[in-house]
Amino acid sequence: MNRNAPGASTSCYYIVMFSRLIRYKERILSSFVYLILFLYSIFPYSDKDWGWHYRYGEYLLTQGKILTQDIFTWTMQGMKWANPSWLYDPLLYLLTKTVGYVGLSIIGALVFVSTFYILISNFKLSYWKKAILAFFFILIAQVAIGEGLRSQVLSLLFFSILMSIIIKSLKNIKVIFFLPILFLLWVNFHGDFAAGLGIAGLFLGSYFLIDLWKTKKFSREKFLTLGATLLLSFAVTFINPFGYHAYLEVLSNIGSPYIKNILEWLPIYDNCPYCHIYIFAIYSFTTLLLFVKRRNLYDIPYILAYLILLIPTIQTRRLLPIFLIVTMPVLCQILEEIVWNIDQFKVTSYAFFLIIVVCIEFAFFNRYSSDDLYHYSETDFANNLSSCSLNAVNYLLSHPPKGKGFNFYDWGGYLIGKGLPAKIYIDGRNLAMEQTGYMPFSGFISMYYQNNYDLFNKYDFDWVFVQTNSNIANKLYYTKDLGNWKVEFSDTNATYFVRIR
Amino acid sequence: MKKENIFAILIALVVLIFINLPIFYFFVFHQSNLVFLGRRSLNPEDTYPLVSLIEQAKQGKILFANLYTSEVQIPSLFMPSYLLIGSVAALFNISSIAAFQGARIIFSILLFFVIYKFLYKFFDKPNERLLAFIIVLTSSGFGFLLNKIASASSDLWMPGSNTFLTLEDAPYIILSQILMMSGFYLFLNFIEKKKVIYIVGSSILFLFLSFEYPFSILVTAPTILFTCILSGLPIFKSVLIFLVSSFGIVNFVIEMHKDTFIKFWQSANILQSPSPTSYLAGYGLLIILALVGIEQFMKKNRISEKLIVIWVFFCIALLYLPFTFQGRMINGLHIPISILATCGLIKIISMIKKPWSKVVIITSLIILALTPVYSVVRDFENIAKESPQVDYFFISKPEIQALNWLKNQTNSNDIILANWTYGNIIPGITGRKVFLGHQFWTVSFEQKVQLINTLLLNNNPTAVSLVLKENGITYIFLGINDSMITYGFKPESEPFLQKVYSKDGVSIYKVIPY
Repeated sequence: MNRNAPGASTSCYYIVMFSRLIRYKERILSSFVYLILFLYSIFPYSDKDWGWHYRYGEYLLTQGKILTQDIFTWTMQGMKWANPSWLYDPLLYLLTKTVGYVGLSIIGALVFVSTFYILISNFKLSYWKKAILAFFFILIAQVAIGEGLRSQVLSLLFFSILMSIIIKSLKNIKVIFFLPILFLLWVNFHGDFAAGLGIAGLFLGSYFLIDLWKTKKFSREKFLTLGATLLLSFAVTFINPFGYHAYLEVLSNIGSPYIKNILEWLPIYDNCPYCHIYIFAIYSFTTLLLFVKRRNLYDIPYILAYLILLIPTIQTRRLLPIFLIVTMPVLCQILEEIVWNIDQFKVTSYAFFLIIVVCIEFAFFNRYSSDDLYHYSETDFANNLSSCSLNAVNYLLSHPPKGKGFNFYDWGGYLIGKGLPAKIYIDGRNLAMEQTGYMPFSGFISMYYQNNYDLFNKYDFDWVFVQTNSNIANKLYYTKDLGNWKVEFSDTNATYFVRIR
Repeated sequence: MKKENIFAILIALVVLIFINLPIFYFFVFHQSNLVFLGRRSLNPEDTYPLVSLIEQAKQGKILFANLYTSEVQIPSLFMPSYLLIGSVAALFNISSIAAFQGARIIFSILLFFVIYKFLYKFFDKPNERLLAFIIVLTSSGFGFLLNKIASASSDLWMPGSNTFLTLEDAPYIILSQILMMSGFYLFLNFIEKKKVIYIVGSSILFLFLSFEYPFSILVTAPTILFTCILSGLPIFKSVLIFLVSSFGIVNFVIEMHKDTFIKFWQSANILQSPSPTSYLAGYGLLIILALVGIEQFMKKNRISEKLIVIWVFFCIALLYLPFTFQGRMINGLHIPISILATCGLIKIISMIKKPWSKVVIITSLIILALTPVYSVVRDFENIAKESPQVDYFFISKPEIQALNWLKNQTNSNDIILANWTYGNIIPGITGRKVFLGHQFWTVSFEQKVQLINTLLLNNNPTAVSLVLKENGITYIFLGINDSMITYGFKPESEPFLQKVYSKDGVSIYKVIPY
């Protein structure tokens, strides 16, 4: 009997396991890149527009029809509004009901990781290359995922699919036949579809012209295929409940003179810790250098997109992820071309193991606990909506306000979502809402931030629900300039005033 | 004396003078009617709580209490460094803040010596040792560059995260790094020379470390264990060495389970780690150089190099432990990273032709040293403002006189109520307890601030008197233009307060039975 046999077989077993591990090292480490990206993409759900999305979704599913008129504010009551996310709303409603706020954070992260995966899956990249891309992706696009699942996050997924189709079309032109389907979905989920159309036109048009310039031969068939597909893609964007109003809604938002009062439309350099401006600077500068170094004809649409988007992105932080998704494929290409065996260095395994440990620990033992994700409550959610007070909202629910009210813009959505049995002054939809020259948003800015108390008096409000430390709250509390008011409820975050008549 | 040693002393001297320029300048040359409080813009709120420990030692205490919170407590904190500093201060009759700064300078000199001795384990050539010495003492990350857009860069604010900040900070942090390095030095000697005396010495040093900076024991213990294992020592022997050299961990665990310890240290040492990007920014170029250095160290088979690589690993891996003091694990990380970075830099310049190699060295040293320069300039700017904020740097002479009166006329059972600004310095100057004075050292700080804010405007003397009594408050200190007065507090009309001191706009009230 061979006494060494059991030991030998155990050794063999470990050797086989080890060699398998080595073989799967690439896959294992790549999985860790996605896992870490996923963990980093989980943020406490804090979409200020949650409430009205939720109620629109509820209306559609319970009434069986799309809500086209405003029923939540008294300022725009009955006004027709082209809701660009009408198809997202029932989804959000169902998800809120089934998975709650933490679920929305996790699903948002999954969509975000999918966006990244679809974008880079067109390239053969080793784990360390994926890690570099993921690093830029999470930090630069944090502005989008920082509040959990939002319609914007889904829109980024569409951008990613669009770029993927464009990249694949270089090898197989038939792939562009998916574009109309993409835009049909996109137009019913988010208003960014218009930007998507522009990008599709820019890339496909450029590629056509580059081929023409290179071959000096006009391909009628290709021209017709591209032209027809783009036209069809454009045409399907009118297949939505609001027709061409979907475009008007986009234009009115972008053209609104008050847009810079919305946080996500502010510049990246204006007090924005989550914009990671220095990472963006490194990314954009490196990409520019690579463009110059490569001098590849097929980079032209990327260069054009880069040049078109760079300044607007610096001026508007919400464009950061779009800029990234549109320009990242060129970085992927360059990384794909790099032939460098990083595993020849002993430090590689050491560094990667350490990075994995640190990233996982950071997520579970630092960020999630700081963000209260383990016990994320309704109070936390309210508090994350520009420090709204759940106690104050509950008071309003149990003591429904009467008459015309004035409320803080950021809290309007939440009041709608909680089912306040009263019409409010304003919420997140109202940025560009206008009816015969009347804009509640301009009034809000004027009264709340510019201390236009004459306008406030003209409105003759019956109740006011605002931040406790706001100018208007102090004015109501300490003076009689705005009439006689009684504090019905107050805490450190919110105060509810009722006029004494 | 060897030329190398002369250079090393010169480098140390330049760094020491440069670091202490703001303190020297404002203590000696600043023309003002105000008295300099002797703290700087790096964590100014934390200076006087530590000075209060020296003050207690000066007053003959061996075990310290937390003077920043009013709850009943049994003094239980034992910190040899502050006991020694306080005793020396009492012997020579110098103020606690002067003793604090003096100890910082003396410990700095000691740290320079230990660092240089430690570098002998890694660099055989004098030039390389001197280069490493400069990098350890002066290097930092990109804080100078990112200050305006990313103030969270760890090299701008995290105590212990780089040697320069450590030298600016409190004596006990400097001492903890001395103990860590000396402990590792003796451990390496033990492995090399196999003499038991070294491991006993190492064990004693780590035991002291567990009193001064217990968190670092969580780094030194596994570092010792894994260095032994990876050096090919038998498991049993490795575990034995680990147990002997990490006896301090027992002290750490015992202290963790003491009620008083939890209340005091866990509240005083809350330090969440910032995000990984803050650390990346905080170490900047050092990380890139250190990666090259790790590669070089991993190729070698010397135990000292293994220790450095393992030390870095555990320091970083423990940065996000599930404890509120996770940020404290950074202490000392800068030293091994700098050693690795030096090795990386040496490797890089070995691949560059001669005239350019000097350019690379000088440029690297300049880039690495920019944040410390920025840090000193920031000190001068901030202190010179003389602004009366929470973390202010000056106090008027009448206020100092009043605080001295308080020190002489009260005893250690008294609890003083003052606004946060004064509350933060009173324990350090008087050795008396305050109701509130520090965001973390004061238990339930926010609630206490809320309580006082409502109390000051309460018109019911019975209720106010009762709250003061319940919290053991016996004196109220009001400085010149005190914020409590501007807030609306009217002490002269309160029947439960008796004015016991009033001079040049400063007043002290005693709480009397009502």
